[in-house]
Amino acid sequence: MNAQELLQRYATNELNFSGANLTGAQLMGADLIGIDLSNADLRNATLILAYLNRATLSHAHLMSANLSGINLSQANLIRANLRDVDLHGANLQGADLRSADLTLAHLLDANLMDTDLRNADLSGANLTGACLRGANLREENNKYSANLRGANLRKTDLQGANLTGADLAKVDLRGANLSEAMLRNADLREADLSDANLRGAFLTEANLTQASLRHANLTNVKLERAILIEADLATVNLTGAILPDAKLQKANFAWANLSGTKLSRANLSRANLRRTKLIDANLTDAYLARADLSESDLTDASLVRAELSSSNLSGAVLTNAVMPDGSIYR
Amino acid sequence: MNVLSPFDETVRDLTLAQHLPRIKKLLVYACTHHWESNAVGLASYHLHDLVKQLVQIAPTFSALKIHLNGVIQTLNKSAEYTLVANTLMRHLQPLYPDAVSYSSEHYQSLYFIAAQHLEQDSDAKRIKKLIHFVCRDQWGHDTDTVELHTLIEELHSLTPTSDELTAVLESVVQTISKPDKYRAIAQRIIQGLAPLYYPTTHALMHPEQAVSEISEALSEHSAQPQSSAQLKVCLSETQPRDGVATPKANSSSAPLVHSATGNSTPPADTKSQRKLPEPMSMRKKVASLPPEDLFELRNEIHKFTNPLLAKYLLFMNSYASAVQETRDSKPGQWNIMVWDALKSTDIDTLLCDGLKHCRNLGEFERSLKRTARQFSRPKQYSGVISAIVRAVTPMFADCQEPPAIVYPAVQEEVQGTPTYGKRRSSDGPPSEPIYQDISEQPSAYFDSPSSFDPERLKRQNNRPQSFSEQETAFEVPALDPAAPGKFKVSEVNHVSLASDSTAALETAALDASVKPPGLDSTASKSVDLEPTESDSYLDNTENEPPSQSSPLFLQANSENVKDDRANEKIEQAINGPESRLGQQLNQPLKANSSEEFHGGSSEETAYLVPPLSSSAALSQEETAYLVSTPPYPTTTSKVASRSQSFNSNVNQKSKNGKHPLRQEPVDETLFLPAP
Repeated sequence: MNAQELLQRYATNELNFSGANLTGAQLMGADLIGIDLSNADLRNATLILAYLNRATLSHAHLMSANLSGINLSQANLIRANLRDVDLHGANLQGADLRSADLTLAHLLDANLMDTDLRNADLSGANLTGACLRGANLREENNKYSANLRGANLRKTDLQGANLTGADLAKVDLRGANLSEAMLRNADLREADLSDANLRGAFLTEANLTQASLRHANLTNVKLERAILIEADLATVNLTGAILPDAKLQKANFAWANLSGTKLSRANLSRANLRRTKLIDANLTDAYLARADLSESDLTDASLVRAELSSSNLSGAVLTNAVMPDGSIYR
Repeated sequence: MNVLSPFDETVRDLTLAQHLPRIKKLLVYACTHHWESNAVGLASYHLHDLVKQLVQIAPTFSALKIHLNGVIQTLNKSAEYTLVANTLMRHLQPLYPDAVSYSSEHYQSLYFIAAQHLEQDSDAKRIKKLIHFVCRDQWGHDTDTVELHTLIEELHSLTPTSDELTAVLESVVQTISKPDKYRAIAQRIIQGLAPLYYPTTHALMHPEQAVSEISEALSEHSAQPQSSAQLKVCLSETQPRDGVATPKANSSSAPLVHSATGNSTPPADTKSQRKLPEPMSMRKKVASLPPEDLFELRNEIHKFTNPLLAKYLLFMNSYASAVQETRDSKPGQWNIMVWDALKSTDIDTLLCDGLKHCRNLGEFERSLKRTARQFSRPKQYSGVISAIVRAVTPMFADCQEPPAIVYPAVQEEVQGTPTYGKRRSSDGPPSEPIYQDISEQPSAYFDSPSSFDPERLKRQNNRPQSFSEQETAFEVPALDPAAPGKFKVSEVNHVSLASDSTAALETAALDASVKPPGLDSTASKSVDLEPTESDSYLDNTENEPPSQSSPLFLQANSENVKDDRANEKIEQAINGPESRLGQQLNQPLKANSSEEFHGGSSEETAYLVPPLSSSAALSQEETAYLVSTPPYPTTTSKVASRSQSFNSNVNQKSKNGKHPLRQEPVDETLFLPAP
C-alpha cells in the first residue's frame, strides 16, 4: 500500500490499516486521527507534523521513521518498535508507550507529559528539553523497569514523574527538573545531576553511588537509606533534607548547606564535610569515622551518640551543639 | 456598666480574630522563643498574659514590628506567619501610642486616588483580593463589603515602606496557587501604591513638585492617569491642616510636623525613597529567570501547541537570516540548515533569545506575527503565537523598557549597510526595525520623514498570495546607505494610507511606484532625508529612538496622532475601507531584494516597501518626496495634491510573470537624478 492509497481510503472513513506495509511512505502533515496502524510496517516513513492523535500503533514497526513534530497524543504505542525514530518536537501527551522500544530515539523538545512509559526502553535516547511531567516510568512487579541507560536527559522536565526503580545509571541529567519526582529505589549510579532541581524529590533507597550533584537543589529531598557513596555533593543545598540511615561514605559535602537535615544513623565515614553548614542538623548515632568536619558549622546540631573519635573537628563551630555524651557545648 | 480598658478591649478583639491558634502560637513563640504546636500546651497560655508580655518585650510599635519580623524569619512558614503578624499588629495598634496611622486627610485622599487608580485596572478584582488577603488573611471572603481605599490604608499602615510592601507581597504571592499570575498583580499594586511611599515630608515641603511627581508616578503606571489638577486639589485641601502622618493618639501634636519641616530627613534619603520601583526590562527579566520558570514556560508551550512549530517560529524570529531560509517552504519541508539548527538548540534558548530582544510583550508578539506572515501558511502559526504569548504573559506582563528619549528629527547621512537580522540592543540605539502591527491600526502615517529607517524597508518580505493585485501599496524605494546621492524629503507629513477599496482607487491620483530602469546592486549612493517642516511627529509607542545609523524611519502607527486636523483628513481618505485596510496592512511587504528578486528577469525591478501598503492622502499644501536610492535609481517621487492616493503593488511578481510594480504610475512621479 502506498501513501496515496492510504489517504484515499482514510478519506472514505476507513480506519483499520492494521498490518499495512507502508515502508518509506511520505505522509508529511497527513491527518490520520484515530487510524489503526497496529502491526503496520512504517519503517523509514516520513510523518513530519502529521496528526495521529489517538491512533493505534501497537506493535507497529517505525524504525528510523521521521516523526518530527508529529501529534501522537493519546495514541496507543504499546510494544511499538520506535528504534532510532526522530520524534523531535513531537507531541506524545498521554500516549501509551508501555514496553515500547525507543532505543536511540531522538526526543528533543518532545512533549511526553502523562505518558505511560513503563517497561519502555529508552536507552541511549536523547530526551534533551523534553517534558515528561507526570510521566510514568516506574518498575512493574519489581521486574520490568524503564531503561534509560546512557540516555541524555539534559534539561528534561521530569517534575512529578514516577521513576520508581528506573534504571538511570550514567544518565546525563544536568539541569533537569526532578522536583517532587518519585525516584524511589532508582538506579542513579554515576549519573550526572549537576544543576538539577531535586527539590522535594523522593530518593528513598535510591542508589547514587559516585553520582555528581554539584550545584543541585536538594532542599527537602527524601533520601532515607539512600546510597550516596563517593557522591559529589559539594556546594549543594540540602536544607530540610531527610537522610536517616543513608550511606554517605566518602561523599563530598564541602561547602554544602546541610542545615536542619536529619542525618541520624547515617554513615558518614571518610566523608568530606569541610566548611559544611550543619546548623541544627540531627546527627544522632551518625557514624563519622575519619570524617573531615574542619571549619564546619555545627551550631545547635545534635551529635548524641555520634562516632566522632576519629573525625577532624579543627576549627569547627560547635556552639550549643549537643555532644555525643549528651553535654551541651558552650 | 462595666467598661473595658483599652487593653482588655484589645485582648477581647484578639480572641475573636480569625486564626486565633496561629496568633497564639506566634505570640507564644514571640514571648518565650518556644514553639508550642500542641493544642493543650497552647491552651495553657493566656492571651492576656501573652499580650502583656509582648508589650513589655516590645514597648514601641516599631520595636514590636522588628521583634515580630525577626521571629517570623526563623519560621519555615514565614509567609503565612507574616499575615498572622499583620493581623496581630493591627489588633495591637491601639496599645501603641507611637503607631503610625495614616488617617490624615492628605493620606486619605491619596488612598482614594490609589484605589481609584487600581480599580481601573483590568484585574481590579484580583488586586483587591490580594490586598484583602494580605491585610485580613482571608482569601476571596467578602471583598465586596470592604472598600479598596480602606484596604489600601490598612496595607499602608502594615507596610510603611515600599521595601516592606514588596517583601510582604512577594512572600504572600508565593503561597498562592497561581504565583505567576499574582506576581504580576503584586507588581501592579506596588506600582499603583508608589505615590504613597513618597517621603511624607516631601509633599509638605514642595507641594507643587510633589503633585507633579506623584502625578507623573501615576501616569507612568496607569493607562488613564489621574490628572495633576485632581491630585492638586487633594493635596491643597489637606496640606494646610495636616500634611503628614500623624499618630492616632495625638493627631494634632507637633513633633512630626516639626520633623517634616526640619532637617530630620536627609536629602539623600529623600532621593532614594523617591525612586519608584521601575519595571524590569525584558532583557534583565530573561537574564534573571530562574530555571524553574523556564521549565514552566516550556511546559505551557508544550501544553497548547506543537513544540516543533513553536521552535521553528521562534528560530525564524531570531535567526532567519543565518539560515537563508526561503520562507516559502511548507511546514516540515525546511532546508537542511534549519533542521540542523533546530536540532542543535532547545525551545527555551530560542524563547529567551526572542524575548530579550524585545522591549515588551506587545513587541514580542508583533515580532512573531511579522515572522509568521512571511511563511507560506501564516495561519497555521496563529495558534502557535497565541500559545507562546499566553505562556510568557504571566512572567513578562510587567516588563517595560524605560521610556526612551525621542530624538528630534536629525538630518544624518546613512553610513554602512544595515544588517539584515541584526538584533536590537537595549544598550544602543535599536538597529532592528520595529513595525507596528498595522492590522490593529486602520491608518498609518509618516510621522517623521527623518525617522525613516532603511532597515525597515530591507526587512520586508514577500507577501502572501492573498495579497492580490488590487491591493495598494505605499511604496518607498529602498535606500542604499552607501549611495552618495542625497535627496531631500520635504514636508512629508501625515501620509495616510487608504485601502484597496474601489473608493480609494477612484481617488487614487498618484501611483507611487517608481519605475527604475533596473537593479544595480553594485551602485553605491547615499541618501539623506531632510525634513523642512518641523511639525512632523515621532512615534514613541515603541519608544524607539531612530537609529543613529538609520535616520530614516517610517512610521505606521496611528496612536500618536496629535494633529486632529490631519486625523480628519486621514479619516476622510480612509473613509469606509478601514477594515480591509487593516487586513491589507497586515500583509508583509517584500523588500529583501538580494533574496527575493533572484527569480525575476533581469529587467525586473524591485521596490522596497515600507509596512504601509495603501494609498496616501496628503493635504494640498503638504508634499512628500519619496526617496529611492540605489540599488535602484536615485529618484524622488513627489507626492502631492489633496486626497491623492498611492496605488502600487509591491514587489511581488504577478501571476503573469510581470512584476506588479512595473505598471505605469497613475500620476506624477518624479525621478530625480543624483547630484
